[in-house]
Amino acid sequence: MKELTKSEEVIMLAIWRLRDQAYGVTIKNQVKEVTTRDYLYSTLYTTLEQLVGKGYISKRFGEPTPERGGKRKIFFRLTETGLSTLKHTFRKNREVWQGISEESFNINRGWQDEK
Amino acid sequence: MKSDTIISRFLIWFLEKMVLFKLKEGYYGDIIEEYNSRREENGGFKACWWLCFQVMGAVPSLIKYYVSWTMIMLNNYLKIAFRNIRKQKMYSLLNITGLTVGIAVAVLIIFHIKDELRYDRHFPKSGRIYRIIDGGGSESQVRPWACIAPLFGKVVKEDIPEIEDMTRFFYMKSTILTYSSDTQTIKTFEETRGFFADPGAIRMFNLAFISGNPKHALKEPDSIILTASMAKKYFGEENPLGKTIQSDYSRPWKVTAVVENMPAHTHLKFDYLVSMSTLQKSWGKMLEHRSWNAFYTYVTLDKNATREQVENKLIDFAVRFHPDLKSREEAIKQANYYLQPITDIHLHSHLEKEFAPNSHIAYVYIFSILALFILLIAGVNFVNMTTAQAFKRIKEIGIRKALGARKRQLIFQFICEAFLLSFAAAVSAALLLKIILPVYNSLSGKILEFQHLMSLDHIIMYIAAFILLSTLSGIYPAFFMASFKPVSSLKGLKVPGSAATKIRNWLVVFQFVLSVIMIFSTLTIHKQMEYFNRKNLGFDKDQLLAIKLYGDLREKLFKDPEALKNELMSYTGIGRVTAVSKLPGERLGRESFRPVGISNGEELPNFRFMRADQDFIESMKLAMVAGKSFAGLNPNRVAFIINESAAQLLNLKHPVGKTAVNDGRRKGKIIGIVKDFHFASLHHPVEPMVITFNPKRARYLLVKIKGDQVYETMGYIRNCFKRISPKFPLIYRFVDDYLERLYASEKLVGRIFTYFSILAIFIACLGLFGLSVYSAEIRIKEVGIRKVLGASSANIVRLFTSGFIKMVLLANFIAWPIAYAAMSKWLEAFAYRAEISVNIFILSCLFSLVISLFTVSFQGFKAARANPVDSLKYE
Repeated sequence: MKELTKSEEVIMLAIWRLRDQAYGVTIKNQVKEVTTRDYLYSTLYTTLEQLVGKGYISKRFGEPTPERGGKRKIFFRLTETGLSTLKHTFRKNREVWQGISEESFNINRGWQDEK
Repeated sequence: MKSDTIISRFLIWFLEKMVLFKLKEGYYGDIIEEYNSRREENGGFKACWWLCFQVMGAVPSLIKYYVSWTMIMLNNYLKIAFRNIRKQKMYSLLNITGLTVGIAVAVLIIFHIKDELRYDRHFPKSGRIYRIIDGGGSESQVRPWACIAPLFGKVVKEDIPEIEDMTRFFYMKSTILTYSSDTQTIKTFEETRGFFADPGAIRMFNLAFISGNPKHALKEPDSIILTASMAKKYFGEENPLGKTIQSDYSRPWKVTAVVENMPAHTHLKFDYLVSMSTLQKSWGKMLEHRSWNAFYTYVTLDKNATREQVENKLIDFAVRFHPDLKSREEAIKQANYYLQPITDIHLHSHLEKEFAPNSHIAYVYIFSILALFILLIAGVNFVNMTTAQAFKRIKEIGIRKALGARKRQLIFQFICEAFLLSFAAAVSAALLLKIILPVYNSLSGKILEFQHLMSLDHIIMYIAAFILLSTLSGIYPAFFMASFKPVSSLKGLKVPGSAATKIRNWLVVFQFVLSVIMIFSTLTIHKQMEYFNRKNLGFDKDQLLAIKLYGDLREKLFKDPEALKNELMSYTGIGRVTAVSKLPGERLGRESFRPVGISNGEELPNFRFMRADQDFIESMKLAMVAGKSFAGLNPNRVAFIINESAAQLLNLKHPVGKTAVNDGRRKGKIIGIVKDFHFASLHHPVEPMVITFNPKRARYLLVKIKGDQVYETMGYIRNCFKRISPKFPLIYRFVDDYLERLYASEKLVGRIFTYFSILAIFIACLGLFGLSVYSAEIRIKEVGIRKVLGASSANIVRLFTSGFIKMVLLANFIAWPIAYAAMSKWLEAFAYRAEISVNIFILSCLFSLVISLFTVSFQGFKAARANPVDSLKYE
């Protein structure tokens, strides 16, 4: 199973958190809240299309609203594959970060030159 | 949307147009939504700012998307375009050939025009260099003079501070120069392009020195500077500096410098310059003259001075300079001096006594129009053939439309095809140009180089022109094809629209109108040239040899003219011999001539003057109207013969027998009146002229060669002269050749018109041929049915050709009035002109008909021979 890029991971998590409210505006805001990444809509949609292409998420159309200039919303949601990819990512992360807590980073372990 | 700024509205509109369809819902909608909420929260400006960022971020991927899709489509368009070309090999070939010829011709003409306009602009100071012209004023009867008095230039420079520099040129007439080297080789040549010049010439025209010192080269008397080719001619590889050259003039000259040849595009054409101080030394009085218009005078103005300023001062100066002018008004009336910018000379100057015959701005216009004609014909061809072919692609267009192609895309596709064809044509045009250039150079006397044509800034111009051409010619067919209805096209309903056919036919008519105009013009020009050739000039010009009299030869003639003449005339091939001062066709000087009895108060213009010996009238077979010729006169007498025009002008009751004074000094009787004869080009009417009896001033011996043995006769003459003056080679020319050079520019125009008419007809016929093939294709079934119903071959051929014949005839009728008007205007420039006879109309019509018939008949015959079974088989 291929690894997710950071962007993909962040966006997919946002979609997962947003449940059935995940569309362009909300995803963008969610990501900004959590990770302070301020995506441009163009990059966001590029990534979203890529994810759709890989089969991790799927989209459906919503209702047109006047605030959107009469355009419909496109809602995204994780597919089964997407879900399992996220789970896999979580596991991998956990392995990598095994046994580390925030306090561990008080000491800089590097070259033992002080001894 | 209350607090929307213009920028926001523009950006939103931009997004609307540019974002791709499938993304629009989510992407576009999201942006609008967030924009609106931001506008509510933070106000219009901040929201607008944010919008800018979003859109800017979007642009790169949009560009990438569009470009990649366009590339993919281009790939397809090109593939299809190539396939089409291969399928329709012949049509494509016709198309490309027509375009190639058209482009090559247009490029050539454009360069010709550029070159003509470039004359005299390469001098660094050319914007400030002027020639001083004696305008002659309103009361003078002659054209303005290109030359003015010798003293004028010298004094005016000191007088008017705005004049930065000045130089004068004085034409040296044809001179024999000799160089005898130490190795005893003697090089002698006749030179006709030499001038006396002031040192200012070097400064003003920035002459490029190969050797010698620019500051001193023309200072000392008896200095001569040579152009590089002159130096090579006389000195070969030797260094000419310091060596001496002998001439007709009394003292030898020392070579002080060698300069580069003057470039072709300047009116100042000279081979060598001798210092003006030489004249000062030998003939100082001449330079003090105030009214002898003989010196070309050029001035450079200060950077801040204006032409008007200096011209104003010139008039005041003229009053001070000429003792007989008492006021400004008089000066303006009698001698209106003005400044002529040097860059105007080549195309606009046709004054009395020019450096060399100049070209005419009219030809620049004419050639531009020619270029336009040919381009139009080629472009129309392209349009016609493409639209005719259009119906073959109906299915393809229908399918494309069904698959979702927008009209915009289809138009783009067909313009791409036009581009491709034009590109192929442009490349072959470049190749064609490379081959044709030498021919053009020899035609026009210019030196255009291929490399120069292909320089960078020119290439940019080509690309721009080529894009323009292909777009313009491709637009109409593109629109035409893009508007085919998918339904009817897929159904296979092939309806060659009658509207399209009508337009096509009118375009053909238009092409032939242009071609007929050109044929008509060519025929007229040739008729005029014939007229020049055939017109009786009033004297016998055939096989008339003019031998230059100089050195030993001249002395011998003056000592004993009869001996030399008898020796020549004793040979059977030689008719009569006479000595004259000027050749027919050479410019005759103007001098004053006043019969006694006409008071000094009465204004008389100057007359053209020529000097001759006893045998002149008889040798030239001129007709006398009254009185007698110079035959048998005592060589020391002064006598005059005037021509009819002079007699008319003088308005004397019995001119013969009256005494007259020439130039205030020579007094003699008018002994006869000669019938007007053409001693100048037929551009001008015969001017009043006086022939003075003065054998001592002869410079040419005119020898009439009888019979056919010209070569042997020349041999005899050569031997004679070798005996008489062994050291001086025989220098001669034939008078009829010399006269022809007067019409050089007309001959050039005639040749250019001939070639271009041929080209125009060629291209038009290419188009016609393509159309006839197409028409044959379409009417296969019709022809088959007619044959079955009993039509003969003749009927079929007639059926085919009649349509085209009608078009060509119509074109002729339209073209005739236009061509007639244009050619009449051109002929007005000649005092003696041929008539535009009915012949020309008929000939041009016949010509165009025959050629178009020939082109179209191929298909006619082919159709007539077709087997109806084959044509009607497929239903």
